[in-house]
Amino acid sequence: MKKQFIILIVMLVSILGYQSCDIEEKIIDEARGEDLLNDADDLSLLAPAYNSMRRVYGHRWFFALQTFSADEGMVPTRQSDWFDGGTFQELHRHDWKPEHRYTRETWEHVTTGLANATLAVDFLETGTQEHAEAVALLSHFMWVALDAYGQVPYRGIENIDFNADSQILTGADAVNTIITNLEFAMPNLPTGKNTVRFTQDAAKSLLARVYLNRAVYENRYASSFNFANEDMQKVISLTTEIINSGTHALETDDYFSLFDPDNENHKEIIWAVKNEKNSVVIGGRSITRNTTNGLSRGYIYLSPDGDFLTGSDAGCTLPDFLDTWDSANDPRYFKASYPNQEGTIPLSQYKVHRGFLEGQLYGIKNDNGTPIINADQTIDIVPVQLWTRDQSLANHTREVSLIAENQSVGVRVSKWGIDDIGTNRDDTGVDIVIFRLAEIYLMRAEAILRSGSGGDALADVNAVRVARGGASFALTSANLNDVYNERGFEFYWEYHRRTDQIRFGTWEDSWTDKTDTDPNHRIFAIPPGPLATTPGLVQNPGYE
Amino acid sequence: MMKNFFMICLMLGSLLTAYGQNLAITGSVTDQNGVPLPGASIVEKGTSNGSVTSFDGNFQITVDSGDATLVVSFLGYKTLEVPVNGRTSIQIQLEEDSALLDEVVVVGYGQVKSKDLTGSVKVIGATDFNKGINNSPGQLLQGKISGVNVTSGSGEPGSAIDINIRGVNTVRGDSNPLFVVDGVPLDGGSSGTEGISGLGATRSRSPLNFLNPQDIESITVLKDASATAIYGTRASNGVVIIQTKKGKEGKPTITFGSSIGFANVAREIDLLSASEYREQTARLATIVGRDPNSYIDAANANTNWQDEIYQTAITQNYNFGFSGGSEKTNYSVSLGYLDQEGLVRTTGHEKVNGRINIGTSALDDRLKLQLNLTAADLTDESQATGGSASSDGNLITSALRANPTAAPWDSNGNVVTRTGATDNPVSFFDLYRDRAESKRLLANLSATYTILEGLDYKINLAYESADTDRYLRVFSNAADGGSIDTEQVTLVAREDSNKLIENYLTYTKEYETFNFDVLAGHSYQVFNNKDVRFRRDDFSTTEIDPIFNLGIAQGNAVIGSSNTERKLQSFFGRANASFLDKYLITASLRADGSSVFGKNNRYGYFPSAALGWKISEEEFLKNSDVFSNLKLRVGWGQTGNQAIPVRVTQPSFNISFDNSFVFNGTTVVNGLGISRTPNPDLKWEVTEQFNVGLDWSILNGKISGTLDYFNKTTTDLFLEVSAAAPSSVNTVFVNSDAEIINKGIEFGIDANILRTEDFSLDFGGNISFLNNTIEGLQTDIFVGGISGPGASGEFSSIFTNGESAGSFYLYRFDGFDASGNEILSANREIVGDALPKTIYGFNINASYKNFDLALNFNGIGGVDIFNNTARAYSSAASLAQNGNNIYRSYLDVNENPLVAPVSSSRFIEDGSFLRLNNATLGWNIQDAYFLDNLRLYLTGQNLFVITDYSGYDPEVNTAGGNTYGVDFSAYPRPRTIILGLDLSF
Repeated sequence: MKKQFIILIVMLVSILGYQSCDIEEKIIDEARGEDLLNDADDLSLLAPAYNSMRRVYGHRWFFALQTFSADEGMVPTRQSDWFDGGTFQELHRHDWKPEHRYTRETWEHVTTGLANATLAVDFLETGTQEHAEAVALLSHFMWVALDAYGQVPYRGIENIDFNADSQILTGADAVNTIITNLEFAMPNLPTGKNTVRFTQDAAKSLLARVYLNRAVYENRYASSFNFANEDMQKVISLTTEIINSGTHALETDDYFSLFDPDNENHKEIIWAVKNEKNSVVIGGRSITRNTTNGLSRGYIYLSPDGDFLTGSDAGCTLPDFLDTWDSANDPRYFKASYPNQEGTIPLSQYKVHRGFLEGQLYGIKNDNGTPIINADQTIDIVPVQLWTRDQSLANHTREVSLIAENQSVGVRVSKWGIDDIGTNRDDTGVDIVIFRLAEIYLMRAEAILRSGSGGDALADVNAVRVARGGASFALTSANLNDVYNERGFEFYWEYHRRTDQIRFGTWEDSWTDKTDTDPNHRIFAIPPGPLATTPGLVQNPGYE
Repeated sequence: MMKNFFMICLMLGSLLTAYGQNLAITGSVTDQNGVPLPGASIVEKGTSNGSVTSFDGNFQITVDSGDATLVVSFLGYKTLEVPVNGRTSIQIQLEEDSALLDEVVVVGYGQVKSKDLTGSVKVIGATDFNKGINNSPGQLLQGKISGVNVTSGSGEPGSAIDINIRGVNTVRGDSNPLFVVDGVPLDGGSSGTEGISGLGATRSRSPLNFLNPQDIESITVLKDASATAIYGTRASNGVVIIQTKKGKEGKPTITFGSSIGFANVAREIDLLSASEYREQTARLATIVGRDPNSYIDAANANTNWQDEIYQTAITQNYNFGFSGGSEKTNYSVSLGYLDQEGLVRTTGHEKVNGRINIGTSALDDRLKLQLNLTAADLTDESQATGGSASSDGNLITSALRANPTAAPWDSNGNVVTRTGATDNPVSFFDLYRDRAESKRLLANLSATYTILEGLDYKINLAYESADTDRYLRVFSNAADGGSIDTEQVTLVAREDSNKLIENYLTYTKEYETFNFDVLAGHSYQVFNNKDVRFRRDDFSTTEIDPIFNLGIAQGNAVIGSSNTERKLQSFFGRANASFLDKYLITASLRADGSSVFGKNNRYGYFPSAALGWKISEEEFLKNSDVFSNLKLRVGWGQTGNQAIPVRVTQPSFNISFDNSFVFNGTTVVNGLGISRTPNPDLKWEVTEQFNVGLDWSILNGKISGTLDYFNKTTTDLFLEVSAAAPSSVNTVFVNSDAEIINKGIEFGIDANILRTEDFSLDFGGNISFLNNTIEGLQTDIFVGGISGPGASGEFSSIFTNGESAGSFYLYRFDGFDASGNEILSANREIVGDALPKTIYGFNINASYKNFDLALNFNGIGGVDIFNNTARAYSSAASLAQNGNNIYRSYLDVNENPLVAPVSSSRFIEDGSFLRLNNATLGWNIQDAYFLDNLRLYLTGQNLFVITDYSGYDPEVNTAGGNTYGVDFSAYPRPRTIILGLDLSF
């Protein structure tokens, strides 16, 4: 009996010993960083807000929304490629659904940007440059949300309570808040030239854009917009301040240099989203992809680091849009990097053409995809033909339809420079241009024409045209339609077209394979996920 | 060699001589009707000397003297003691034990007499397993148990098995049950999927692969909540309890088994032949404006690409074991070796595993000790075949669409790079390699101490470890014009381990009219999951394989690791009582606290209760000629699911490159970001289940069966939903108000149709009908990203209110218009059901003299498959535009070759099938020297399948996780013929 008693004691002790087993979760492979908040330097606190801009402006996100829904771009379904569940067809036909992949993902990136900028505003000390930048970036994300979705989840910039529900700003409230915040930030933003960080000129550019579109934002579904004279005068004064500062100058030599990998601090650029090859990649969504995706799969091109790559036969532009151009004389239309015809050139001269790639494309001779380099480091230039898919010649005709008859139809757009390295098409040094001086001139011209006063619109339009094509390229008169067209020539595939088409009343027009006329499609739907979980968000009209 | 032979002779000689010295007895054991009883045990009383009857019921035993007594026992019969009285030939007749149902069933933390079960529990013993299963013990059960759907996602050796008990009741993660091996709940989610971006990642491996099916004594499936609730937060998908073989008292039994199997692709996909390809491309060329000659490869060959990548796969399997025991100690030891080739060349699975089970008792049998130790070494060689592969870089889809006029080798015998629009599938064998080396260990030691009569204390200590090094390597072929422009080697070293300590007390008391037992215990289990991963690019040499020396890769290295811990503490208790041997009552409660739950919800409580009524014991039925058993069971309980990722309940900030920015144009400044939106309220899912069942047997037990109805509702569904905007991390884990409801009826029957002296015939069958519905979701959940070209960001399946889990959500296809274009619905809609409505299986076992035949059929009905392989590659456009070879069925439709097909119901196919899963013919050879048992058998697996499905096999799911019924580049299923030999002495 005594023995059993001892055993019982041993058992009880071992049982009781485990009564107190702990089940607290200890995280051992992740620094949870509570102390980071106190010690972090200002730039670390600000970096996520800037970084979020790179995502918002990714090529499948705000870019796709602004470009492939508009009359300047399309990603046609090319046989088995690029159907992708109809996402690009829906964008083009304006029949996107609330759960559309790219309208949803863009919303997610914009709201992440709003949250990251709000956090930075909260962490940083009021009165510092970094705090002002955070407020300005917050305003920029608010503008994207307002422009694309009409609703802005907002936590304010003072006494922020992260546990409270956000406020949902729309219309005039959103416009006024953006304006107030930018004016609040203005004095602490830096002056002078810096295309990487938000400067006073960038803030003025954004303010001008907001004033220019204010009539749209405040009465989104109007059959025509009533642009208030005081808003137009604001546009004129803000743009005039930027132009007169002399900090920026129009590019007069090579238009495409604005979109080259080394475009940081380009004289014409006011603000761009900084990309470096060593920047973190943002999930296959770099600006360079807009060009590389569109190139023919049969086109073997040389990346700057010497690798041969091929395109993906994706996006192209549209015939009606091209018809507005003076393609023979406009240097923005096409720039050959080597003679686009049969011949032999040194390998070192083999660089991708810029602008619109129309007609038969010529490229390096190859044997079923293996490039042939001659012994003397020259290459033979031959007509590009697909070897992987339908064997079609890369003859990029203007005519194209949403369901393309082959891989090669559709004029390709090689505006954004290529800076691929290695196998990762996301590594790029091309900064994404947000504001540049040409836009400032054209905004001023538009505001003058809309208000009927305040300056010489023709001179502003011609300032841009002469910079591009010399004195002979000037117009003799300029009306609103000329400004609209000039914006098309100047800013194609540069994130403007959808906003411009809405403001100029052409969004409900018909173009290739697009007949929708529903004004509800001036903004996108709120994605169902955040709609269900965010108090105050309501579905936009037409998407319920 | 000569010396070895001599040694063997010497050994055999000494064995035989040893037997010659005593009284040798021969005899037979039969039942009351004279039917031989094979496998009956004969032991010389008071010794460990014993024998077993052979197939015809005969036995031989050598006893010390003529005064010995033989103890003869056989499951289901009364044990008989027979004095030898000097006889050398003894005929023994055993009497059937009327209490046949006294068979003991292992349940959670204990065992119950079969007749006293109140829950829905089914046991399958080794003799009923599917034959010839070398891997994936889940397959042993396929078609055997109602309500249990076993799906091997692919025909690849060792690939993961989905075991679905009574439907799908979670949205995130898979629905596999909890596996408990010899009392140790396994970690389960330990085998991961890795891959190289753009190349096929292979599917995860079965977590049970480390077990040798030969070592398994029985598998018990706990289906309803009254049986599973004792396992708390891990039980909502059901529980599968596996018991390994233990030694039995008696003389040592030495077993040896070996088999060789030959497997071929059971059904090839019907593609255009080279000549049909020439005809069709010539016809289509003019429509698409392509030169007809451009389709014809320079080789102008006639190649069947499926033949080029598949092989006759040979499987060799060897098992050796010995077991036995004395009054105090028993042991069972085994060693197994398996070398299984895959149908795809270069793929295969090699396994060495060993097991030691030892039990002993001490302190006058008050203390019982049991040690179980299993170790295994597994090596998997895979190819780029997985469903997540992109349009290029997938071996199987490349073979399906490769140009049949191309040839794998050029005239110099070198592997060509391209075959039309695809990389040469044969070239993958050199370019890609995926090798996983895994070491598995499961050890547990338990001690039971009888404190008082009926009061036992048990402690169970266990350790499980899975240590897997997975190497993935790919060479680039871009310089030769191929599409693989990645050159990299990846090593992922994972180690998943868990430690368990359990203490519990049981008390059993029997009175004349009242019996009861109670259980109370505590359990603490700590799980550790860690991995280290390296990736390097750009090889300095191809002379050696970089997987053997990561150092020869010189490009940018990616190095990372993770290390996480989960802890689970539980308190549990159960009481069983029976009154008058008629009325049964069971109640249990488990409290589970887990570190993955939010700090505001640390412990979940999971109660259950059940009643049983043995109607056949009531006076009005007791003397019934019809019913020999009739029992009604009613049970209710709650179980949980804790498949919550670690860390998500806690906030975290980080300074990371992901949030970096280059402020001055050159220097990267890492940003301070929020890692996640935490939810400190996060808790388990709750599954509440009601079950009512009837067990019956008639005609003196000749026909028996079960009938069950269940209704199972899962609430607090664990979902990752959008966080309220604006938030830095867009999603948050929550317990949603939504519900998944599973209702079903299950029916099982067993019948002894015939039993004569020479001939016996048995039939067993089961069928279950299942209905799965989701309600209360706030937003639809899209799952199952569609692989392949033209489908970026598309999802095939949806969780939506009023439909079953993972229903197919695509455009509806209504044929072709006059121009051969698809007529499609304006919007996506529910076009198919990914979960079967009916699951059934039946088996026929017959024997005639020394020969036996077992046929096992299984099937499912009311289910659809999304044939994404066909969507991606079998259309006129794919042929005409890209020169891909396509399915021959295309010839039946007049399709516009200018337009590629849309993901639509056109590719939803009926997934119903009936399969002859397993057929085994055995021959038990009599009187083979000193052997107790010598058996030769021929097994055919997957001999036929009746289905309308056009892919390799309708039992398919290449997606995994929470997506069901998708086929993209599925690994074909083998038809296997196995010749085997088992002997024991």
